[in-house]
Amino acid sequence: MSLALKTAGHSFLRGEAEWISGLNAIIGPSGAGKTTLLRLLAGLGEKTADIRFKNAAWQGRDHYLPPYLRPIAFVPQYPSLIPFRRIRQQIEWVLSPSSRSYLEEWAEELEILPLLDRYPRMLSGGEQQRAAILRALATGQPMLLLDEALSQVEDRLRQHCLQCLKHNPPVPWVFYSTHRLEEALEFSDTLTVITEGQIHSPQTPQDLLMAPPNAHVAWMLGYRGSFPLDSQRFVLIHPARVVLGAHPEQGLVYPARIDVRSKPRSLLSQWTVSGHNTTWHWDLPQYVKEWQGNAITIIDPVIVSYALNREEAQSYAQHVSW
Amino acid sequence: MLYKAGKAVTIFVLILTAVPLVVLIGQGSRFFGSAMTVPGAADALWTTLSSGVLALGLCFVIGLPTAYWLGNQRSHTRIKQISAVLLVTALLMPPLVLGLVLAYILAPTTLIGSWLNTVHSASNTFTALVLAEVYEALPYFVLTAWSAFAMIPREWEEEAWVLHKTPWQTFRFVLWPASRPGLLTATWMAWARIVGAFGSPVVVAYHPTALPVQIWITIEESGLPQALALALWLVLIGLPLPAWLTWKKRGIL
Repeated sequence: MSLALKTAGHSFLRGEAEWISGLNAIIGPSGAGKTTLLRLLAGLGEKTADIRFKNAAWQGRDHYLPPYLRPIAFVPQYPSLIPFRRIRQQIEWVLSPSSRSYLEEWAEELEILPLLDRYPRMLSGGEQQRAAILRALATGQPMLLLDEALSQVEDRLRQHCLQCLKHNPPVPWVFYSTHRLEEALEFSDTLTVITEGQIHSPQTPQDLLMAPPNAHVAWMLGYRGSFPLDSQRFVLIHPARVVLGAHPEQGLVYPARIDVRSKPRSLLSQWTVSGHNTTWHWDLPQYVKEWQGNAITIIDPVIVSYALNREEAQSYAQHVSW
Repeated sequence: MLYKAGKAVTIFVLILTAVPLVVLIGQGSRFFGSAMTVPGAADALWTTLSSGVLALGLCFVIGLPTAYWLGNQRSHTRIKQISAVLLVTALLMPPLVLGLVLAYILAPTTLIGSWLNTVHSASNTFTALVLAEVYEALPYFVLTAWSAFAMIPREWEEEAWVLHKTPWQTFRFVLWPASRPGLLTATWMAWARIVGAFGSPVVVAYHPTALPVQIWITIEESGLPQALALALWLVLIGLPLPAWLTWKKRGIL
């Protein structure tokens, strides 16, 4: 009971992944390949990659299942609702008998019940996105592919929709690509990270936070600043995982001269850490203005350690941005 | 100043354009009723209508899939390019030249002509007339319908597929209504062209005589006033619908 993807022969995507049912988030920087991946699953992309769903091949070397035969419903980031049909007509058109009963409930959850008799041009961007999601749900297909499909929806409603998708899922499979890392971490069952076409295997939010597959992903997840743990290993540290001062009950206390100064006209503060015969400068998000001390505490240091050399550690701290 | 001059010239051009229509209606109506009582005229009208409906049907049936394929963004660009050149050439080809070529192809001395001859003589038949009309009208139909399909965003089609709708269902619910105004224009352009086809029918299908050829015969036998009356018949069959459609659109096609 899984969806397996091997990108053999694809011109851009690399790597393989296997998902099980649930809310699967796909995260990555702009241009990393999130849309390419979802279009591939929908059957709108290249025909080269191998995709198997529950041991039935969707596409492979010598066969290709067209989009309308796959058990999916896909919502692109900018949905093209048919302009000369009312929303209700479009929903009726794709409606499957099995989803008729819960359609109204979902229209209410998405807060578009009063808008169903309008034409798409009379809806705002966020309303169009919600209408497109309802239209996709109406198909009654077991797999929903959402390509940043809530990006223009206001925060409160988007969170509400994600809550529903997580706790009261209308379909067993949801794929959901997003820029919003916090939401993906909070709501999804698994996270699939894509960086420059490289697909990293899906992991639970907890596992991904504990052990990011590489420093680049770690940076995306919010790890900032590098740190020599011993002579071999450096760590990238997460602002949420560093406590100023010595708190041995919370993690590893690292004795060093710590000097935190706010940077003028910047949202970052500069940390100077002197210890281990080296001095490190980090620019971290500013949550303290001025602080001086003789120790910091690193929470769970082992899980964020990498065999980075010093130059790598420095360059990740300075140049990688998301 | 320029704008006002433009307006003055436009009025002049409008008068110039209206003159033939006014003369045709004024002069043609004099013998309008009696024109159809002349031997051969009613037959010619019937020939034009029946062959025209058949030719229009053929244009639609073979032109619609062609236009759909050419208007699709997935289709091969080079093939589209070649098609466009071919269709424009066919569109602008002098009808007389087309008639000569068709006459050569259908003549009993050629391969196709001799093969057709085993069943029935190919030239100067109803079939030849329909064929000549299709040849004249098809490029108009395909080019206009092509642009109608090309204007439909590809996403509409793709989004219907990923909502579990087959290409046939998508065509009926999305593409057909979206392209219908353009297809209507294409159809009536083709109809006007079919009804007025003279250049190639006069060569390849003098018999059965269609209305434009009958007008030519009337000029030679009875003179201009009677011919103008028949011409008014021809115009009334061919043009009111395109004119009405253009009026409805409040602008050019």
